[in-house]
Amino acid sequence: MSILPKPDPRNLELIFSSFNLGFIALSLQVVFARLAVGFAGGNEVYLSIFFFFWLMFTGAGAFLIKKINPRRLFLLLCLMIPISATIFFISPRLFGIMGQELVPPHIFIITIAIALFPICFLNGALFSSVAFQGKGEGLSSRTYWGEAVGALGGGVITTLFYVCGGRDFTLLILIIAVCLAAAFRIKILKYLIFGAGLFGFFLGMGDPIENELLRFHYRPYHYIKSVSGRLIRYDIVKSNDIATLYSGGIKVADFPDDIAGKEIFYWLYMVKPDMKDIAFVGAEYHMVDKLVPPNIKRVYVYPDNDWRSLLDKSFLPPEDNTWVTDPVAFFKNNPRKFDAISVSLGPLLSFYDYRLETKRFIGLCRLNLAAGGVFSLSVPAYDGLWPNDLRSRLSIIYANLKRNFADVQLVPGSNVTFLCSDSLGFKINAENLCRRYDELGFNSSYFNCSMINSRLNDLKVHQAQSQLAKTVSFFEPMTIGYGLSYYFSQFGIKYGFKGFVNVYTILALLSIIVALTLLFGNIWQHKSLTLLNIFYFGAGSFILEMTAMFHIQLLGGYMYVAMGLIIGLYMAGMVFGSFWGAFIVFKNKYLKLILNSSLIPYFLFAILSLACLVQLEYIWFWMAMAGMAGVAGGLGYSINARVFDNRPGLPYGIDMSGAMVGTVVVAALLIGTISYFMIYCVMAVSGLLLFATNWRSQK
Amino acid sequence: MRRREFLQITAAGAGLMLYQGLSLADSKKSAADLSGGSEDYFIKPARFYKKLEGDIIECGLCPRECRVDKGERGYCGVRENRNGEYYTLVYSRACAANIDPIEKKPFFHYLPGSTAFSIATAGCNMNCKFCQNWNISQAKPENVNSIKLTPTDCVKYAKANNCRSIAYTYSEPTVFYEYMSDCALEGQSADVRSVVVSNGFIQKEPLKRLLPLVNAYKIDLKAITPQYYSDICKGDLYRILDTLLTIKADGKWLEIVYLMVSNLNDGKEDLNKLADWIVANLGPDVPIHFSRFHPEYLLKNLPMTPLESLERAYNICRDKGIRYVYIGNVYGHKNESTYCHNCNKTLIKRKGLQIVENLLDKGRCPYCQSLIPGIWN
Repeated sequence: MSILPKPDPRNLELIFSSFNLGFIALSLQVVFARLAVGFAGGNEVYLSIFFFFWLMFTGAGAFLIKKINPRRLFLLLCLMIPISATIFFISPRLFGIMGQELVPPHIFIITIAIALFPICFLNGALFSSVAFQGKGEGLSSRTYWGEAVGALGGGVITTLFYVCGGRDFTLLILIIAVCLAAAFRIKILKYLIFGAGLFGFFLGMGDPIENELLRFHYRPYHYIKSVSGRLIRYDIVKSNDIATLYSGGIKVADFPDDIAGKEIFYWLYMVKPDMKDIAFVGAEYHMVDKLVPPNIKRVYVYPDNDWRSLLDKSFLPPEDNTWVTDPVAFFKNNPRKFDAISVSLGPLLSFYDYRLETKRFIGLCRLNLAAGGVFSLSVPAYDGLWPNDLRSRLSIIYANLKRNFADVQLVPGSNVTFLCSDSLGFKINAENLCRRYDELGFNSSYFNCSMINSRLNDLKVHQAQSQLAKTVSFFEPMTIGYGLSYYFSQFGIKYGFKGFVNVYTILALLSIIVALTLLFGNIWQHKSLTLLNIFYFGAGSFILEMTAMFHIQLLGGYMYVAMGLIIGLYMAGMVFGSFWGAFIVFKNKYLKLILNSSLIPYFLFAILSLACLVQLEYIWFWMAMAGMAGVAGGLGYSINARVFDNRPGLPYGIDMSGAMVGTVVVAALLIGTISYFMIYCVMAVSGLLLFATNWRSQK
Repeated sequence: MRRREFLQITAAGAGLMLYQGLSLADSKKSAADLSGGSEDYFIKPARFYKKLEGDIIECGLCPRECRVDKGERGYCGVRENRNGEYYTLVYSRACAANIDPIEKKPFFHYLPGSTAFSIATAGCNMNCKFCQNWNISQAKPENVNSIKLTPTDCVKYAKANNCRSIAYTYSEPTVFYEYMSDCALEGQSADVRSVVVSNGFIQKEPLKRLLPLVNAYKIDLKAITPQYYSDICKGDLYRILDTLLTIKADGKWLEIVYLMVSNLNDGKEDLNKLADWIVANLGPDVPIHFSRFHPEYLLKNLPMTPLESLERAYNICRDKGIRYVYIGNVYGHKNESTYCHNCNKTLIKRKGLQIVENLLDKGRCPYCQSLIPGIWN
């Protein structure tokens, strides 16, 4: 038996308002995530903190506010949006640091909390208040569904907007207009306001405001202009004759800069002077290209090129030397073999960066080398005794290289350069390289025999080699943990819970909770168990979606369209699941079976992880998992939330709490502290936990 | 089973598992050991402190004059109050040991072309936001990997590798004062010289005691404004200026490095003030190196210094009468070379850290016979 939405004005009002809410919430989340990254730089921990606060404040708003006139809340929201957005630009100065100085965690946390609290709390309060606009049963479920539809719409529009190069404050104008239109009863006023918003949106009227804020942010340096990439904003700032490119608040390169490029190319060239073509990943064209002899073909692989319009043409590679695609995707699909491949890594702060130092990616590069080809991997380090985190990262990279190449040698220094081949046929030491240097007739003031001798003296080489472990355990944490730990040590913080979190303890605890829930679940009040179930659905579906995204990145590279597709699939799954639960299936006699069937992705995950088969090469599989996670989340919520029709904000607040825990667990805790394999085990057991509470909560 | 009993059992079980987990973590921690033996070896009585009431120590090594309670450490993180006695935690605890050309320090008027056995321990008494060696200077000694390198070992390695000097560098040698002075003393008897690469943030008395043991001092003068020192370096300009005056008065060879950070300390007014102070207080013969800032640590997002700023600094200083002005970290720049202050001919041609040609004749210009200040042999 199904109940479709009745043509009741109150229910229509609910759907309309919940759609608005979903659209505003998701669009704001995207914009504010970009502003947060632009203010502090993007790393997994900061992003987790961002989502943590977003979900927590939203949940708090839904939980604490029962029923306020939604129009007032929409009005208040549109007043708070510009204030909150501005905080990101002025916050560093208020704390006495410069715009481009690295933002320490405590300043980031305070800024995010202040900026997000008003808008997220209002979003949460709106959910509760909007639900009460409706009539009949399943208010929370129906609002959830409407919100999911609005969020899907918001996701599509923001994706298209940023693909077309739109900027953040212009999108904010549209969002504010939607908010304001929702705040008024009179239809003509609604249309006028929305029309004005569209007008501002299409004319880019937010750009001048954003430019002024950026000018303030970058003082005392001279801000020039920005361009919006699909993921992040790019800025150009000048200091006399030096132009600096920023991506998401992080410096990419100075123009001109003639130092770093020499090392990226010269070590490789001296080992393989007969190369005929070379591929560069992570190299700045303007530093490297003039060093490469004209007889060598070269190609530069960049994940995106939105920044091109900001730079002088002389700094840009010609179009036919550039591949704009993710490096993983490039090497998967490239039919050409190279004599040399150079990969230059940066500090490791996110999964986005991590995909280039896995055994899988290195193996992919190896397949793209011609016979006798040489692979070079350069990692930031420094001379001397490395701190543990840096040493661990370098050791894992070294082990991954050795798994793929028979001969791996290194050059220590401010960047450790690994030179790899099946057989280099050349011992890298100062004497051999100086001889080769003379033979090749280099003319470089920086790269010379004095530098080679200094870099390759026996003490330094021995020091570097002795610090690299020859093998690493399969259970080593992913190197992103070490990269983040090294980053946070700059602020005197030892990020990383390796001494604190014991994965076996987590697994044991989860198993005990599963067993106890199955055995003694009936002692809980039905409502409490239902809330627990909602909590687990919130956490579980979020974790599964994030894991699917990570796998996609590792398998296929960071493809923006694929990311959008995954999130879209997840949202679509959520829309479908919540609709099905809210309107169709809630009185079906097979409800328990249907609800448990929605947990199939968790079981699949559990079985595959135990069989060590999770490293499946099929991206479609992970996309399907993301979709199924959305269905499970939407269905689970809408079925369980029906119990709380007198307090629709309560299950929503609990769902947000679950998602919040999911964010912290996956992004901040698991990724940095335990191995890939262990994450699967933890998630498999989490899935069983979800099953246990689900089974018990459905009478 | 009642709910209360269920909750009690669950809590007890969870507590047991957590305890097991934490115990495992603890045992891993206590199993950690430094290479080179027991930690006690690195702990030696500190010098230059005074005892106050209640077992509180007042450190007298640097102008911070930290008041350190029992069990606590000074700002530098490497000197600790243990039961009312003050100890250094880094004696022979080297976390960096390299062989570098002397030009890397940079010393351009001291034994050109020679190498220095360069050592450092963890710790620093300032916190410059652009520090290139932050991972040792801002670290506690137990958090960095170190080796045991006694003063005897230092001298032995320096001689074995034909290093004419031991350089105390990378972090801040003031904080490992005891280790540094013992190495220098041992080096003196073995004809291995000592050079100090420092921020200059040291009290007068320890400095005066150290000066007879060392042969050359390079001071990082970060800026000429107290605000910069306070905001960017957590230091005190005037104490560094005092150090420069003390070294100069002692007659020890002195070179200065001024790291130019674009838009922060490269203004014309600052540079004029700097040049005036040097000429008036140190004289025209103290070499100054204007070093290009390569972004690092908390300022890694800043642009690097434009060449125009460096060249402006060079011109201002030369116009004011400073005879030896260099531009550093700009490889291949003509102002890496040494020119005669009198006839402007090239005396020492450098490319990066490499000496291409050294025409000095017993410390004199081969063309006009002017005496070129420095330690050439």
